[in-house]
Amino acid sequence: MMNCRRCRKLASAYLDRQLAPPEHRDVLQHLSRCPSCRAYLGELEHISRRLGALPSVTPPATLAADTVAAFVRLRQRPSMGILTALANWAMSHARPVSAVASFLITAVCYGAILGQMKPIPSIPFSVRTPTITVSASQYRWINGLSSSSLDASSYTFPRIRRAQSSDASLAEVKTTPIVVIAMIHADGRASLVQLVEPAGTPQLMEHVRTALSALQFRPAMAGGHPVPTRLILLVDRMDVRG
Amino acid sequence: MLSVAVAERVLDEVGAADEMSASEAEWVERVRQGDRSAFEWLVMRYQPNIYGLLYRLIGDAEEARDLAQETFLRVYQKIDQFRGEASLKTWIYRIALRQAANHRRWWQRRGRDRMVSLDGPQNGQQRAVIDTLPDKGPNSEQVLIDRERQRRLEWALRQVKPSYRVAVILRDVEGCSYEEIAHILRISIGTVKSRIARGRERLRQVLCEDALEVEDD
Repeated sequence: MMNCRRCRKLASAYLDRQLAPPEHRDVLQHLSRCPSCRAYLGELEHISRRLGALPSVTPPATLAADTVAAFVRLRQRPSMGILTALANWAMSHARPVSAVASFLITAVCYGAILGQMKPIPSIPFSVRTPTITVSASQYRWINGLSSSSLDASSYTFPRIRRAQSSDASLAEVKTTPIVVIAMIHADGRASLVQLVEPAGTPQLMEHVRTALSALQFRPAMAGGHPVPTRLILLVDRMDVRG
Repeated sequence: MLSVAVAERVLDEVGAADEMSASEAEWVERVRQGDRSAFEWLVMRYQPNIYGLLYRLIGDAEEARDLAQETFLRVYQKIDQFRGEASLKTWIYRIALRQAANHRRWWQRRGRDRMVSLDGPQNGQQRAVIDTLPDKGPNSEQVLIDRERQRRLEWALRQVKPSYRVAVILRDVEGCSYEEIAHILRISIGTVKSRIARGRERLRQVLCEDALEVEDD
């Protein structure tokens, strides 16, 4: 016996005659004895009819002429050989290309940020050293203010000073970006405030907590004094490097 | 002999469709060779559909215009990939929707929602900027009512999640079959059913809420 919930779920397909005969018959039977579902179907039908009756949109008068002119220019443009082929390939694979491009841009931005924050001692990668990559993304907020709104002359960002060896095993973590709220204390220690994403993963939270505790930051400075800072970090990757 | 009449009509339709696709194939071949008049034919034939689809989807005349132009240029650049397995129309729709999707992602990254369109309603309001400008044309009351209803429907359509919206537009506005929509969007028939159903349901909710707000006012 069909109930109202099931009937409403099938109502749209029923309207378009897209149901298998038994389902169509069941909906029909239900409708014959349910005024509420009949009214619902009537509303859907009315909306569908109104959409179909929308007046056609007239293209701008110059669209065709401009498009043909662009076509002529495109044809006259001298071929750029491999560059054109590459551009066409990139356009037809927009998603992977944009993913690679955004990775490269992130890497460059990260490099630029590190460059600004020098001198930064290089962190030797050793066995079981968690690598944390901080992305200069829109997630980067400092004490409730976006990094761009801070007065750079009186405020310096916290920066990574050194990473100690850690027993944290993070080799399994190579999923989507991890969004972490961390407190960078005035003495340079880092601690976890909250694991925002992925939520509900206590085991991962412990890994992140351990990894953060192995990091030493140069604290943020305000007016020449170290100040505690809350950072939202987008951790691109956490793994164990050998 | 109703059945005979029906059969004859079906035969006529099939014949007309074959004839059309045969001539369409010739035009496609000429476009492939870079023939300007063939490209003109392509634009003139499909621009109402493509521009209309993009306009309904995006709700901004200027952007729909740019995207329609980009779509036709992409069609020319990719015409070698058209194998004739689907109709030319559905193939061009697919390119147009890909352009629109790229465009949407581009704007999402740049906070499109903070911009004001002359065509679309402003944040939280039912009236578009263009409506605040003085209207000098002759208007009867009925024309105004119809225009207002149409605007509310178009506004409501833009409140529907894009993936559902496009399915509803293709079905109810463009009149595509479920099979065509599945081909255009490269999804299964089951997903087409589900997206159309959810899109219509969402549209119904938005229109109901909108009607209640109007009553409250």
